[in-house]
Amino acid sequence: MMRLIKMELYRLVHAISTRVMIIVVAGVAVLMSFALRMDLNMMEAEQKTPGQETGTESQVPAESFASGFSDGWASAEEGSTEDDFTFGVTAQADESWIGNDMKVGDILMSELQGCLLVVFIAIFVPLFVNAEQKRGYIKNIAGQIPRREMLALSKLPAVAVQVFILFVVFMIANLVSDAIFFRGRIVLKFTGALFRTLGMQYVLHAAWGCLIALFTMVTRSTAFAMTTGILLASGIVEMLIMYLNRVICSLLPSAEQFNLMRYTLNYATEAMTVQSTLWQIGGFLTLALVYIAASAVIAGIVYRKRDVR
Amino acid sequence: MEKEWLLETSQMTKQYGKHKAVDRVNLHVTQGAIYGLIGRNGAGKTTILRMISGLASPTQGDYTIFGKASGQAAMERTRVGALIEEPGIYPDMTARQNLKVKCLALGVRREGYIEELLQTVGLADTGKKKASNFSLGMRQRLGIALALVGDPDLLILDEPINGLDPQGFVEVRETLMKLNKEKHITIVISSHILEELSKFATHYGIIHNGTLLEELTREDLLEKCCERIELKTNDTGRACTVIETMGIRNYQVKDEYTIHIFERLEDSGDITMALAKADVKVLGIAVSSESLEEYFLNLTGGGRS
Repeated sequence: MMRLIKMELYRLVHAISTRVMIIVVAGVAVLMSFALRMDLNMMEAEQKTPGQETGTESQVPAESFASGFSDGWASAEEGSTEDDFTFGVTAQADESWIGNDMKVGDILMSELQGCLLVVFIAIFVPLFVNAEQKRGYIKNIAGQIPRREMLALSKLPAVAVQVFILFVVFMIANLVSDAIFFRGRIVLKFTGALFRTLGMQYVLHAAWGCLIALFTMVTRSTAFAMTTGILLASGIVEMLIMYLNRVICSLLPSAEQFNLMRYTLNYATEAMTVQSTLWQIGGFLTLALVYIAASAVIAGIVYRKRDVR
Repeated sequence: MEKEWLLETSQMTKQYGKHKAVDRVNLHVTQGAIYGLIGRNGAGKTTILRMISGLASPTQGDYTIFGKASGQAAMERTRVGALIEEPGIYPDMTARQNLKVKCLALGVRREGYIEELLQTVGLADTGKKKASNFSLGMRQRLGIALALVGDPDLLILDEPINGLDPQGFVEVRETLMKLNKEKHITIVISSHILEELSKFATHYGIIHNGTLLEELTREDLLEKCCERIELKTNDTGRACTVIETMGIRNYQVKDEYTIHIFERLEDSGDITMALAKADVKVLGIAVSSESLEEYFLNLTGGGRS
């Protein structure tokens, strides 16, 4: 197993897609900061114009690139702040930032919660995972590995490392660009709570990576895994989950309070904030680990049972 | 005593839906052989190779490899290097990096091992050239080098000479012959071009529509394809005496009525006369020859379809 993990890591380090990923993610992080700056400028201008309404928060123009949309279902039904979250790829500018200092943690979290990084995971994880299949390399090696499921399992640690690289590059690029675009206003305050939240967000993103790697391994299709991952990140698949939830609730009256959405990675990614309690963090951690374990088990079984093509 | 095969398939069948890609095939590969699996495109060669290299399971039947049944041969299969369908290389890596990937997977850490492999397949001077810039022949040789990682005893190569120019073919052929001769690696190689395989294979299996039509050695094949006089007579014993008195030594009695004569092909008239004088009835005499391709096409019904 360790040999195969080493192989995957070597492949990751030498893959062109890894270099492309770093450049693209860093570039988009800078663009996001720029877009946030523009949005804040507009919000300030709106505030100065009398008779115009301003909301408590608005979405930055950058959200439009991945079709983010809000969904009021959860909040309308539950009425709790925990469920009042937005689906889709977004980064939200807080009105309280207008003319005030901005905590670096708040900016980072607004982008992480919006599933922006998940879109990149959906693009680059299938490229990495499926290269072995696409290039035919798997046929040269699968016969010589006594336990074929190891070929699938060894990919998951490599995907976790890939997500880590993506995460760190995004954070660093964001910090640097925020420091430039919000010069004099940015507060670089790194608290234990922020690190804990970032750590938990990383685990959730690693779970996203494993889930998308599973789609890739099961379907052997880069395009399918990418599309599914992007649809999941943008929240479109959530509509199906909501529908499924309603079906469950109508079939089982005792499960009226059951909310399937709470068991999705979208929900956990959105709901995990610096203010989350330890109890909530424990729940999100369990959820992420369940996704990782399920991905590993399913991918392992598929690799073991299925002919290599 | 029953012969020990390095690889033996027994009624091996692979079915996809209603279509039998491979139908009750019984292959026999001896230690040290270069076994050529010949068949047209879609004949079932790749499916057979995929099964014996552990990539697919037979629907029916089984095979033994290094004396173990397929179900218990997981460890034995680590001694099998394979190049199935395509070289399986990462184009944005160099030859060395490609080999390093497989060395890491198989835990091969020997100093200078990769250089040795590159030397073996004639890619030692490729340096930092990416595999995407390699010629087809170079890619095939890199594919063979990848299959050689871990020092396999059996090499399974699926159409490694397909699409190669004459120079590329000679390079791959010489590499394979060297591996077979110097490292005693048994090779199972598939191709749809019998003419090319005949230059180095020692054994042949001819497959058509998923069925193994014939297994034969190099000698069998050459004999079947060389030019000869086919003599049909009612008394082969006396006929042999007659042709020996004519000084003919290179002949073979094929069955009760048939003798193949491999020399003095222009003297069929004299042979007929001599046999008639000796009161040996000649049922038929003809000079026949078949090229390798003709032989293959006749066997697989290629001329008709």
